[in-house]
Amino acid sequence: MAQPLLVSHKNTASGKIEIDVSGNLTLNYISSIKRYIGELSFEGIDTVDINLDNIDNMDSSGAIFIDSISTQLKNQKINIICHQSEIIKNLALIHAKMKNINTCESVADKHSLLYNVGFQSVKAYKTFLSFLSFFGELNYSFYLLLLHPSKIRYKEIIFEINANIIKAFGIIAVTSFLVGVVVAYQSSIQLAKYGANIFIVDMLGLSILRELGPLITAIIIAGRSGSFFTAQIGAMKVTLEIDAMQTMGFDSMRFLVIPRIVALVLMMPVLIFIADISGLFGGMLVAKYQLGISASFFIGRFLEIISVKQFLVGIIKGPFFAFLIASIAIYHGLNVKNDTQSIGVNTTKSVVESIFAIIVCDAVFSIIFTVLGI
Amino acid sequence: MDYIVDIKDIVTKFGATVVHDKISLHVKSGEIYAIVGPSGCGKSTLLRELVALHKPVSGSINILGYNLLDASYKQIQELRKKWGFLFQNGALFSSLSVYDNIALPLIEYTDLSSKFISKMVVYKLDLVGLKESDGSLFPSEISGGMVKKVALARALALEPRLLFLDEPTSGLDPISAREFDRLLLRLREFLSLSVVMVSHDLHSIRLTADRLAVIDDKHIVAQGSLDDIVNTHTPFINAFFDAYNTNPS
Ligand SMILES: Nc1ncnc2c1ncn2[C@@H]1O[C@H](COP(=O)(O)OP(=O)(O)O)[C@@H](O)[C@H]1O
Ligand SMILES: [Mg+2]
Repeated sequence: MAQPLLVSHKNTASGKIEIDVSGNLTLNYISSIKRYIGELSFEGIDTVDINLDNIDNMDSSGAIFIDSISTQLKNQKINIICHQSEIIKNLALIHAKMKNINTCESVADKHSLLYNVGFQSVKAYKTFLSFLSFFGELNYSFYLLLLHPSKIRYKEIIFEINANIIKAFGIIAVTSFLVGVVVAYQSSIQLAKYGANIFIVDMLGLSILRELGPLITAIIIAGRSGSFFTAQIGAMKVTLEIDAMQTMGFDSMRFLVIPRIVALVLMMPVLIFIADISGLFGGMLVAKYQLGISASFFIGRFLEIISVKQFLVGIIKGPFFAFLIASIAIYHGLNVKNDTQSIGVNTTKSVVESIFAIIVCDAVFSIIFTVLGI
Repeated sequence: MDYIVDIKDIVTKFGATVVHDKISLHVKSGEIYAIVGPSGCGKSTLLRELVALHKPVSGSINILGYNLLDASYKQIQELRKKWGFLFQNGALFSSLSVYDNIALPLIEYTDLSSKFISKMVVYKLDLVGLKESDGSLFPSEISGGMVKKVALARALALEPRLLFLDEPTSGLDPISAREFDRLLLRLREFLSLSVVMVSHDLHSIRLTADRLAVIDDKHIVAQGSLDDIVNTHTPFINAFFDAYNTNPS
């Protein structure tokens, strides 16, 4: 494949320049021809003859280039000289086509700030509405299922409990244990300064049971099961599996959504219990080695100070967190459009939004418990 | 040496399963060459081998003057700009708009200005029968027939001389399928393309293919023009062309 050879003859007297192109006028060489022409001096030149007689090959990009050469040489009259019938024919065809195509440059429209603010607000509002509608549909399906409990998909619920709860035991226990260790270690230094070693029990008991246990559990489950639900259901959307289910009359609420939500809601308290136990165990180890509080003394003080109420306050949050995680994840899964990109976007949204929702929900609980004096 | 694709004695195995047992065929420059055969006989695999997505166990593949199986990575990268491949389901990049799908190879492989690229993209869209305004749509927003057209425009972006098509008309309605056939013929003339295509669509083959090969049971059982093939008799060919003989509409 020959690089095109460019020769130009300039005749200033007649104001004319002739450019001879030979070789291949093809995609790979267009920018070098463009550069060559760009480097020529067109001072005092009003006519450009482009001679294509010696061209071996021209593809459509070459033809488009010749056709649009007047955009590069705005101030000159351009004559295309060519006696090869094939090339003349192609140039004529391209010219006819390109005339009908008005290449307007603005592929993406630019909008004003106000437009964008409005657009995004309406979008957010519509998202909220569609979530509400999902929520309503969900509750209605729940209601219908409660009327006909035999229609509940117990097998799916058990499957989801195994996949999302049992298999999360390990990671939740380890994370909570480490958080227990860290919190206990940090506070032991302060408590030791005041000689208030024994209060480590109160501190750990209250913070882990009421706040840390439920929050750690919920955040891990949001990352683990939330992303799992969204990606799984999203992939089912892309492969049209959900449409297929629908055409066969399988209600996606009953088959996909409710089993997942029920599994998480039922089992979240169990997970929180595990988080509580391992967090306290981590704290107890630190108390023993850092502050010299023996296990039996720790447990004795714990039973004396921490009432069952504190434990229940943490546990009661579980089903609410679980419901938020599962419904947000599934909502985003069902929102996936017919492309793979959309799975990634929705999975991210699902995890971020459910963690945010958990923290808001936790704050609401704090307010309620304070008002009730619990 | 005049052949644009020349393959000899290709043997392909997946594990112990032999898919091709010494397959040879050649495609002349400017020809539309069809490969037919029962489902699972290894047509897609053969195409994948021709574009260096899969390596056969033995044999030789000569394509656009390169010996593909001995070619260096650099040579294969060169070759990849000289052929276009239309995947069965289009395989458009779902995160990119139609316009960007077609512009991507031009942006990656040439140093042309975005203005010129936009001209070429619009021209390619027009060539395959799409409107400029379709360019802003995303793959999830267009119909199956349009997906194939966009995929074809993308395959043509770098002005290849050789085009591979895997079941280009499958999944299209008959009208879109015939439209695609005419488009292919038009492009062949316009862009002086050579085409290798896998097809199950007898109408399409009759309308477009100059020659074809029938793969069955690991071998090429017949090769030549449609008339040559019809006069060869094997169970698959008989079954396949029954429709053709009884209903030559
Ligand atoms: N990646 C793979 N691994 C194992 N077997 C494969 C693979 N790809 C294809 N095959 C097998 O090779 C055979 C040919 O497949 P393919 O080329 O897709 O057939 P078709 O002619 O229908 O396009 C099939 O039997 C298929 O099971
Ligand atoms: Mg196939």
